[in-house]
Formats: sequence, structure tokens, C-alpha cells
Amino acid sequence: METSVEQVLIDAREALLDAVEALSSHSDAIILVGAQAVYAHTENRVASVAVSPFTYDADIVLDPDLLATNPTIIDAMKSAGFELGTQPGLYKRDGQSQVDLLVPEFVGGSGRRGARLGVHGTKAAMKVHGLEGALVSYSRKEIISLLPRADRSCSLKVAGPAALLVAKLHKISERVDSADVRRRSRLSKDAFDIYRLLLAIETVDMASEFGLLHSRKISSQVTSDAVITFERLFGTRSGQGTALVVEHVRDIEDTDFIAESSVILSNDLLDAIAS
Amino acid sequence: MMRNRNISETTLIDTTVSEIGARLPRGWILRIRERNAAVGSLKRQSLRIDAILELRDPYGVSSEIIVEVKTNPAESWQLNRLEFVLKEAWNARHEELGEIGVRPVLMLVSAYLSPLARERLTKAGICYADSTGNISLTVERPAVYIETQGAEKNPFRVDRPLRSLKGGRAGRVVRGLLDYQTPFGTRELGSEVASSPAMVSRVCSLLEIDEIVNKASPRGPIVSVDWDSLARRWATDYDFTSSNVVTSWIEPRGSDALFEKLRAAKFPYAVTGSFAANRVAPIAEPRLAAIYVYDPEPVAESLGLRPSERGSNVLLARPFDPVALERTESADGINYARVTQVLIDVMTGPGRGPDEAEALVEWMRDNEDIWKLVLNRSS
Repeated sequence: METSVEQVLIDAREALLDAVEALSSHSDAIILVGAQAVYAHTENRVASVAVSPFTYDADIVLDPDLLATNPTIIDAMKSAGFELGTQPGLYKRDGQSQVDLLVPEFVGGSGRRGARLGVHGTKAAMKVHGLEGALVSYSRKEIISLLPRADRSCSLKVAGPAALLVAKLHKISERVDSADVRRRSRLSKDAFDIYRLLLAIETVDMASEFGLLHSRKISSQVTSDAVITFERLFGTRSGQGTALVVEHVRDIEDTDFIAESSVILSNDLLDAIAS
Repeated sequence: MMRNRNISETTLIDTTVSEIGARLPRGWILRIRERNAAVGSLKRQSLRIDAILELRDPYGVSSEIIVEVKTNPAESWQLNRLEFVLKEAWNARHEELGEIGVRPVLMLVSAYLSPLARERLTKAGICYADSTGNISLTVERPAVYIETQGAEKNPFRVDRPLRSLKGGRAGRVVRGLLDYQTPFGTRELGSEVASSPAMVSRVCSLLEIDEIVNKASPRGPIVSVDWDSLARRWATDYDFTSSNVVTSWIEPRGSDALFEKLRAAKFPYAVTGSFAANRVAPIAEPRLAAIYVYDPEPVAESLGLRPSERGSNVLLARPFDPVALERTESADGINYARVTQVLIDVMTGPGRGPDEAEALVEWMRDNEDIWKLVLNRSS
């Protein structure tokens, strides 16, 4: 039998596939983001690291303009066994948080946490700042089940690497100075996901995607803010982002190399974005 | 007798220009246009050449001569790098001048060039001159051909017993002794590895004392070489980081990305150290890549490496002798240094060397039939 880490990955992928199937009437409106999207871009690339990906949940962005009216999101999710928890957009199954439905703040309407989604109500998805790029830059990818001998897959919009980078930067920037140690500690995984993207994606490709994100009104502001954050957190060896990347691989990898490599790749990207 | 170390680069160039100048027809001019000249455009890493000469006939037709100087006497086997540099300079200059420009002439100037060295240069289309009067100059436009005969034997040679295995010339012979199956004669080995028979004899004399090398009779062939002891003996005089010119670099995307780029490399290189040792005798995931290259700076640039002291994962080594890049082995699209070279490098190099060396020696003991080369008897 697989190790527990691998089992966690298998379960997370099954939850994602179940949710995507449940939301098939809205398939044009859903875009994969978060860790599972990062791995879709980085797995099997030449430049990768031996640190295993580790994720619990599936993060899906909804584009409000493309949602169908029937069935409602909450009903569709319920049909696959996902129950809405206490917070908008965070769905649980078998007592575990598994699927997060998210709407970029820019298109989420008024209100504090829940996105305003017409017939779908105000609880179906959570508003999140920084995910706007997913609506602008994505590509379709085949996402397959990780179960041994399983023959299940789906074609899914996956947010582009730069859109994912911007989202991760907003998440880290909002929480890195948090007093809550537990909230802060989990950020090393997000920082390492940024490093994975920097390693796997050619700098020129990433920079041109940044250009696209900058050019659209919907994602322009979050992208500019993210670039400033990126330079502050990842631009130097002493930056908090670099420190989080190193923290994630302490004792397994050569941290001197990882830190140096992260700073070089970050600055390469910053230079390419600026030019 | 004039000792070779007294001849400076400047003197060699000046003498060559006046020697050739004296043989030119009336009205022709040969002059030094630039010493220590940079050739090549900016996008190409610029190359330093010892001198550029200009040859002009009375009608104003002129040609340039790119000159590389080797102040010490040169044997044919020492010309790899010089030939490479001259050809690179030719390419760079040709690129600068464009298709319509006159093609530059290449020339090597040395204190002394052996008959084999001269033969090799002629084959490679490189003109030459030495301080004993061996000159060969062929220029198409303006047309001129000069050939004069100088010394046939190296007048600068000093024969004295060898006291250590330090240096490229001894190292080249040691590699030959390690690489080939016995028995073989000193002359035979010398010609195979492009060393002088005298140098082979000197190295063997030193090693015979400890019975690392054994001959059938004082003037007879070498019948056995204890390669394991020879490697350990060599390691007392050789050190990977100080015998070679080693610089540290970082490939920020890691070693897999580096090897992917090496597969497409257009320059000569040989991977040594941990990566090469672990290919045949794996013990642990290697981290630091060590690569022999003739010109580290332009290679680093073409591979996208950054200079780095901390966290470096690549070492580029300018070799103690071109032999480090000879008799390489290719596997999975990568050129690896010969296993004997890899052994001495992991024995004396950085990282987890000793463990790797031990595993490699064990593999070599079990697989002599795989790595020992057979001397090419027909040559």
C-alpha cells in the first residue's frame, strides 16, 4: 500500500475529480488553482525537486460570468457528497475539508466573505483577493486520477503559472506577518510552490504571462502589487519568502543551493518583467 | 645554449616578423598591427590573441595573420588547445569581417616545433615559425610562400630524472600507463598518448623504484602496471582543485537542467567527479557537477551558469593537460572523462570523495576488461 503522503495526494485528486464531475453543467466557469494547479505545471519537468508535493484540498476558481443557472452550485456539490461548512465556499466530505470554491474579489460583488453569485446565493463560493489572474490566463490540461489502475480523467482549465504565482504571493504577503504561528508555518509550502514554478517554467514564458496579466483591467492591480511583494520577499537571501522556501526543505536539501537558486531565478524573472 | 625560458613572447614575435620580413620580395611589408589583440564581436565572448600581423604587397593588397605564441618548445600532442584557440579566433574574425572580407591566416610561433608538431600544423592549415628557423608561411592573397628548415631536434631539452608526477606532461604519461593493457613499449605508449618517449621513460623510471611499473628488462617493454597503486601515487602529486584551474558556478535550475544543456553542447567537455563516479559505481545522489572544459568563461556563459561561491553546484575545470578531455566515454548523450581520470579526481576532489573513490576502485577491480584499452599496434 502507498505511504500516507501519497494517499493524501490520491484522495485530494479524487475529491477534485468528483467536484469537477459534479459541476459539469458549469464546466466552462471552473478553473483549477492552488497546489494541484502548481503540480500540473511542474510535474515531469526537467528542473524539479525531489521534495514531494503535499496538499489536502482542491482549490477551484469560479468565473461568475460563465456560471450556468441550473443546478445551483451548492446542490451540485451536495450531489457528490460535499457539504458546505460554516464559511462560504469551503466544502467538506467525510469530515475533511476538501474542496474550496473561490471567486476573485474583483468580480465577487459586495459583501465581506461570500461572493454574490445570483441564483447560487452568497454562500456557494468565497471571495479571495489575488486570484484575478486565473480568469485571464489559463490553459486546458488533462487531469488524471492517481489511483492505481484507475482510468478516470477530466479536461480542465488550469490557471497559468504567473497567475498562480501572483495568487501565492498575495496569500503569503497577507499572512507572513501574522502573529498566529500555525497560520504562518503552513506558508512554507506556499513559498516552496513558488520556487517549484520558478524552477519549472522558463523565465521568458513566465514574464510574457505577467505582461498579459498586467494588460487586463481585472488583473492589473493585483499583478502590480504582487511584483512589489515578490521583490521584497524573494529578491534577496534575507527576504522572508526566501527564508520560507529554505524552511520547507531544511534537513532534506542543500539549503545554500536552494536559497541561492531561488534568489537568482526570482531576480531573473523580476528583470524580465521590468524589461 | 639559449634556454627556452629566456625567450619572451615579445621577442619571439619580433624575431619572427624580421625573419620572415627578410625573405619577402622587395616592396612587401610585414608588420605587427596589434599585440594581445581582442577578436570577436560582443555577442561572442571575445578572445585574446597574442598578435595580429599585417602582410602587404606593393599594390596595397593585404592579409592579416593571427598569431598565437607558445614560448616553450611544442610537441605535437601539446597543440590541441592552441589549435582550438586559433580556429575559434579565425571563426570570430571571419564573422566580424563577413563573407567578402579577406580570410585571415593562422600562425603558431614557438621557441621550437618538433617535426611531428610541424606536420600536424601543416595538416591543419596553420602556418608556423620557431626560433631555430623552421618557418612555413602560405598566404593566398597577396600570394606568398615561404618555407625554411631549422633544427630537427629540440635544442632546449634538458634531460634529468623526474622527482614527482606533478604537471601536465607527467600526468599525461600516467594516464597512458593507467589506461592501457600491458605489455607495451615506451615508444609505443608515447606515440599512442602523444608524449615523447623520453618523458615516458622518465615517468617509468620514477615508478619502477616502487615497483608500480615493471619492465621485462631495463630496455624492454613495460610488462605490468599496478594501476591501483599508481593512482594513489599520482594522488600525492595531483589535486583536483589545485592542479586544474577550478571555478565555482551555480545552475539555478539544478543538475538535471545542466545535463540537458550539455547534451546539446557544441564545445569539448568531459564530466568528472561525483556524477561520473556514480554513473558506474553509484553510492549516493551526486550534487556537485565537475566538468573539464578548455575555456570556462565562455562555456559558463553559453550554459547560463552564474558565478557563485555559496551554494554552487557546478565546478568548471580548465585541465592540467588536454589528456583530461581525451579518451572520454559517451553515455546517454553526455561525455564523461575516462574512469581513470574520474578516479584521481574523486580521490583528491571536494565532497564525499573518499567513499566514492573506494566504490569506484572496487568497480574497476571487477571490470578491468571493460575499462582497460588496447593499444593501437598499427600506429
